[in-house]
Amino acid sequence: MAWTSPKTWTSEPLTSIDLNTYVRDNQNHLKDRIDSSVSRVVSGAANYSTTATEWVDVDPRELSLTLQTHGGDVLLGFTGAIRHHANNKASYFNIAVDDKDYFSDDGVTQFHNAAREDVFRFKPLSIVVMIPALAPGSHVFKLRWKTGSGNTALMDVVETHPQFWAKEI
Amino acid sequence: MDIIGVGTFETVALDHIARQIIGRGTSGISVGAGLARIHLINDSASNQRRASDILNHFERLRMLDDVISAREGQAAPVIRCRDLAIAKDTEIAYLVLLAGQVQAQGLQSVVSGELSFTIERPTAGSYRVFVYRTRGNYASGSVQIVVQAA
Repeated sequence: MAWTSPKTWTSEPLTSIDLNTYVRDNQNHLKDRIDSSVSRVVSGAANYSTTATEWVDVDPRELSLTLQTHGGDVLLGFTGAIRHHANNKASYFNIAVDDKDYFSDDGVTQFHNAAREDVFRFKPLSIVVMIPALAPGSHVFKLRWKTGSGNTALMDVVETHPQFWAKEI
Repeated sequence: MDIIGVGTFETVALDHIARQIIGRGTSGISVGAGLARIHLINDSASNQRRASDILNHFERLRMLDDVISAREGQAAPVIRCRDLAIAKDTEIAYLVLLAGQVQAQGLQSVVSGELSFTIERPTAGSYRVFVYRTRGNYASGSVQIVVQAA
């Protein structure tokens, strides 16, 4: 249901056509946007891990969201826990929108561990990003990651359970 | 392109084997949700076949032991493999992991279709030793070694 710029009535009579277009349909549009959200919470018997030095999907099934949008901005969020096998290494995170990496270079954020003891400890990572002015239609959002050479990045899905969500705003 | 395998895979070992066999044709591997993916940045037919073979034959070599218990300062653990897949091989690669970190790697000779080598002077900890073919079907296998303090 598309948005129609509201009409300004002056002295003309109310008609069912106008009421349906400017009141009912616009309310439906606003309600549809409010209702338009999708979320995944991931559990597993073994943690995710990657050694990839180029962008790859964290999990092309579980950390992939399909959202029917009505045109406009979309808010995406991820909360999870990350650690590395090697110390003093970084892992990088990105969002793919319809299989295209949204952020260039090393993505939207990075996770870095410095102390040697950090390799044994998962630490929290939260990402909130806005994808503005997205065309109406069905869109697929995926969480992607990569890491530095010689490292393994891990994401906990056994003890804690990452959430990945998208909401039209 | 991702080549996908189903099952349980040790991340460090799979990454090591993939990089040794495919070289710069892979950017690494990912493991999770009961799947492993070898990420090919050069998806030539030969690299696709190598990646599929690595995944399809991961942990398929017949090792003579699954778990070896040892104690520091006593007899060195012996890694043994006897499998038809290595019957005509002359050498096989190995990778030693201690607490998930690479401790040693190299090649060992295969004599009369059997691989046998020792882990010298292991310190206390949990080891996992992988062996893998560097030709043919790239089959691999592993042994867990638990070394207790003296």
